[in-house]
Amino acid sequence: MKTVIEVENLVKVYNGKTSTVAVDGISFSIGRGRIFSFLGPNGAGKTTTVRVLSCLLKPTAGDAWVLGNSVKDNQVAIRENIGMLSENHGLYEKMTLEDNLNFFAGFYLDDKRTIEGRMAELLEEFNLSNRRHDKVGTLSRGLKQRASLIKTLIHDPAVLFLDEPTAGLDPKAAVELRKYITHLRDKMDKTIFICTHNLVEAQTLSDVAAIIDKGKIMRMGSPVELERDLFQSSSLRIESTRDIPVEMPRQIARELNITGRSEGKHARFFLPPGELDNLVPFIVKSLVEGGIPILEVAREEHTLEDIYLELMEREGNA
Amino acid sequence: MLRFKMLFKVTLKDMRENMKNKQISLVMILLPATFTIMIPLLLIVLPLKLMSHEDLLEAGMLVPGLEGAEAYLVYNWNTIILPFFVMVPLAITMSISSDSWAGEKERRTAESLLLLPLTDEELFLAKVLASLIPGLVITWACGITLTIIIDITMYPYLGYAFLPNASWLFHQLVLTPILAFFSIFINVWISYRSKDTKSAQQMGGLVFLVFIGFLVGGFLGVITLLTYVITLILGIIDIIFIYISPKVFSRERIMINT
Ligand SMILES: Nc1ncnc2c1ncn2[C@@H]1O[C@H](COP(=O)(O)OP(=O)(O)OP(=O)(O)O)[C@@H](O)[C@H]1O
Ligand SMILES: [Mg+2]
Repeated sequence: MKTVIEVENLVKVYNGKTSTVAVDGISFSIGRGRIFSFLGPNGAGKTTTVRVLSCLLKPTAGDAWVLGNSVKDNQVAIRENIGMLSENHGLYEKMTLEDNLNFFAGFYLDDKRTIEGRMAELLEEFNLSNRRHDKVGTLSRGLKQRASLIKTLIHDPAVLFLDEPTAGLDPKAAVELRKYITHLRDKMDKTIFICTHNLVEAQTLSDVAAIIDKGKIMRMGSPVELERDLFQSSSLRIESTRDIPVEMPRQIARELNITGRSEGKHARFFLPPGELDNLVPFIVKSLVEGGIPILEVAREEHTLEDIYLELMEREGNA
Repeated sequence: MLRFKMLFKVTLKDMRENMKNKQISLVMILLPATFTIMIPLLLIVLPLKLMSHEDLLEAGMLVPGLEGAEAYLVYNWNTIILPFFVMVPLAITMSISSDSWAGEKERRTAESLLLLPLTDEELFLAKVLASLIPGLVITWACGITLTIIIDITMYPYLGYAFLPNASWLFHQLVLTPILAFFSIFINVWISYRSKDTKSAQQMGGLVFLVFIGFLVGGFLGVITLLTYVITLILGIIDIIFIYISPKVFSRERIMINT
């Protein structure tokens, strides 16, 4: 497997009135034809990392390579081979969709017929053929997002950076896009870097996911590995007929030195391996004593969401 | 090596956008109309038509060695029309270049532009050309129109074509490009450092200080000498700008203050 993106002790500090360490010494590498997800809360440093990799920002320390080119001195070579879907759609609102796409494609492709072919294909793929001659300013938010995706893909780049690709899309469009992203990896051998808050997205799409918070990578691995690594344990799901106060499961968990939380009528506890026998009766008893009627107690598979929330919780308690 | 074919795509995109920008197109229409038609008609052609024989004799005192209508024309040309004409390249280039980067930031398209496979120098130059080309073309079109209007209306009085003369040619061919470059460099820089077009324009108004220099020179009657001195100074500043700008320009700066 060839490495397409390599990041080594990357640091990015924004120097303003106060200086912010947005990315704090991260390292990872992404192989060709892989989907890598960056998962983290607002302000974690996801966009900043992507901007350094796409040569929009210079690293404060450390280095990064895209297709073997360093972001420090081979910027044009990197820019020629990447496609970036940014937080802003980045299209000219007063120009038509077609003019926008022609403008951007013209920097990578010389042949008008190639551009036209790719444009028609992508407009069809993203259901925008009928809006081709409309000004971008007249498109809805979700349609602008799809238009921006076409702009990202039109020059057929080997590496894609997608910063929250499904933000603003309706559920059907989001599902279709995820399918398309998988297709880009499987059939076109693209290397794809996705920033997201969407855990389901990270879980279903990525070969490797990294959880980032406050500029540091907390955990990294395949979704399956992450689950195993974090919870060689099981999760206990308890359903009540009544809303469970947020504090109650936390209190119980604290006594047992585990983590737990509630969400409406459900509570969830993460149990270390082999202690089911001791802990489950205690948890159930405490809840009942706290006046919570219990409808169901079940063991559950972990999702990436559990891992994420669990990590953030530990972080918050620390 | 600068790849002109590539960077010109950005320039063309900008010029197309600017033609659709109300504020910029207003400047590009009103300013030429004022300086090539309104001012010469109101200041020279109409008054000459209305003057009596005595008035004309008096006007002759304005410029030693000349008489009547010719003295009146030369006086107004040197003290008012010529100094005011520097407004044309200054204002046109300013209205376009103050929008150059600030406009991209305001409309949130700066990032797309910065992602293009162009070098910093190419990107910077593309924006400079997007102001320079219309600035020069419009100023020269105004110059030619003014020449024709003055010559047609003044021929009956003078019996010869007043324009082009040496100072007018110098003004158009030397001073105009130097002024345009100066205004563009200052304004592209301010635009690059501003968040939006409005604040860029407020700062950019500073270039009009140059114009005051020309105006004072005109009234003092030392138009030629002062013009040459200012032109020389601006020319030197331009060369320094051309040399330094592409080296200082950085994408990061634009990303960070968007
Ligand atoms: N231009 C800037 N100037 C100063 N600080 C910045 C700038 N851009 C981002 N930051 C700071 O850097 C940190 C990381 O921001 P970043 O945009 O990378 O986060 P993110 O993970 O993409 O968040 P989100 O999920 O909200 O998009 C934040 O603390 C943010 O405030
Ligand atoms: Mg972000």
